[in-house]
Amino acid sequence: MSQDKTSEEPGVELRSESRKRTSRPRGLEWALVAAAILYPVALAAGPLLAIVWGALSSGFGAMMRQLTSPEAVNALKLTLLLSFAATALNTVFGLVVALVLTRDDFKGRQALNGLIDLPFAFSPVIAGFTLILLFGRNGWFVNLIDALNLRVVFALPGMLIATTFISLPFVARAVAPVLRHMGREQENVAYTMGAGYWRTFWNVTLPNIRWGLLYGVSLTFARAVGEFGAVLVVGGGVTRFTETATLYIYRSLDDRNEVGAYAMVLALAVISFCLLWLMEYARKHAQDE
Amino acid sequence: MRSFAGSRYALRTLALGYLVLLLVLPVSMIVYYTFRDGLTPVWEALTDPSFVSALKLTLIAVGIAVPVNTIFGVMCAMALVRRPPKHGAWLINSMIGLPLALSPVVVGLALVLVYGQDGWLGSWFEENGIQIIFSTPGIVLATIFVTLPFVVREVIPVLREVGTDQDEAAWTLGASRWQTFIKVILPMITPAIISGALLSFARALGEFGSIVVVAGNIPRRTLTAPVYVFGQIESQNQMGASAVSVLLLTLSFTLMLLVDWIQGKRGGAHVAR
Repeated sequence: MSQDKTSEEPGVELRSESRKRTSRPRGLEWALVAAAILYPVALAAGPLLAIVWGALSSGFGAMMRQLTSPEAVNALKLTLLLSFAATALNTVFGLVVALVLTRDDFKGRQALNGLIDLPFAFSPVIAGFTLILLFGRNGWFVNLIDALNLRVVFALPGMLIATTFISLPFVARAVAPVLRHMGREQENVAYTMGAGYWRTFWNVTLPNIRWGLLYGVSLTFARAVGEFGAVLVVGGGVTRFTETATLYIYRSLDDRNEVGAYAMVLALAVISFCLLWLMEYARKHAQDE
Repeated sequence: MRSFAGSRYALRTLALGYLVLLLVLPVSMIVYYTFRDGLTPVWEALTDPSFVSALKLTLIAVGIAVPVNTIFGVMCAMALVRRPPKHGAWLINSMIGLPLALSPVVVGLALVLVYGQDGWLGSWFEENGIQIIFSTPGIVLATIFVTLPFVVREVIPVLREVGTDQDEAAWTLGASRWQTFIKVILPMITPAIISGALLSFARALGEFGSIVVVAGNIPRRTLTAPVYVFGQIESQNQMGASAVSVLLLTLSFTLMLLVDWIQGKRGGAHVAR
């Protein structure tokens, strides 16, 4: 059955070939397949086209003028800065966590495993709020911050912590299964042949996990670029200072500057698309290996 | 590998230190802050009528979005694995992954453009007396959108892994298509379905950006639990915000632990997550 199943031309466009077993409710099945496949496309494609249309409806020139305004440029710069920094941190530490999860064994490793998923279950608003509780006016660390003459809440450091927090699980979560699947044989061979820990990681482990890592990194970056709730709470969205691209959109909507909002939405959507392409590419390779 | 004990301890310390600083500290802070003055203020915050209605609204949205995405997710996974379309599989796959790549604000605004008063479909709904944006349907729609990937992405790898041997056997023994699905395929993918649904649930509980754009924050009407927390922070009511936060966190973290437990039984999470 699987043979005749897979050799047929599947998908939405159905062929009325002769069937071996006529008793099968073909029409219904095709309808189900078509519905299942069209569901995500219908759900996602409409809104996507609407974004492009919305941004371009007032003309390309108007859109570019909005995108090159100092506020918009500042917001985009800030978003990219935060995303790169958070991604870099989470890539390094995510790798470390994944290595510890799969290559190390100690009491409480299971707890570590559950801990990493925490940010996934965190509402971004709550993530921002905990930072206010820690670093805000009555926060635990207020003395430390004052002593260092540092501003965390309503400033860049707080936003960086928030972004890092929210995008924390992805690298570790993407890399750990690949590491587990890879096993330790190759690494042990490398050790036996005299390679050091670092060299083994660089020459043996890393090439094996590169697609999983790339998948995790692109997920992390996407989440960081799109972050809204946490940076809103912790940064306050002060124009030109703590306003990221998503906050810029939010403010433009409030100010009834729709062209500006749509232009920035389109810019973010384009970034997301590049990341989505990267994600799918990496995921495919990671699954094939 | 006794010779690498040093590196191992260093890595362990780094990993634990990072997670303690970024995760354990904020969480214990918020829990401590909530229960510092005993249980009475917590109870007061949690029984506040506008919070109760916000929580209800969140649960309604999640209660609709998760089953819808579970049913369609299973169908979609079956279709993609068992009857992969010759062309355009990449498009379907990317659409499923899209909510992972898109900012919640972008999702919200896109939904407004389609379903809003002047939107493509919105004007039609408007004529028929259905308001989507700034109303419950919009919240449900946003929740469905952001939780789209999870069930599909959990089920697909399991379906691939189990192959078709067992349903071929059932088929040969005379089971109908429906019987094969219910009695053979479904039991094999149930853990994946459950963990996908729980992931969606946990994600949906905390959704903020898209909902605030789609529905605003009209008290008692379109105010969901995370938006309520935001309102409490804005109005400097830290007690209210932290009590509700702890409740939401406990809920979603329990769900995540369940997911971990199910996936652990199955032998580790998949890349596709």
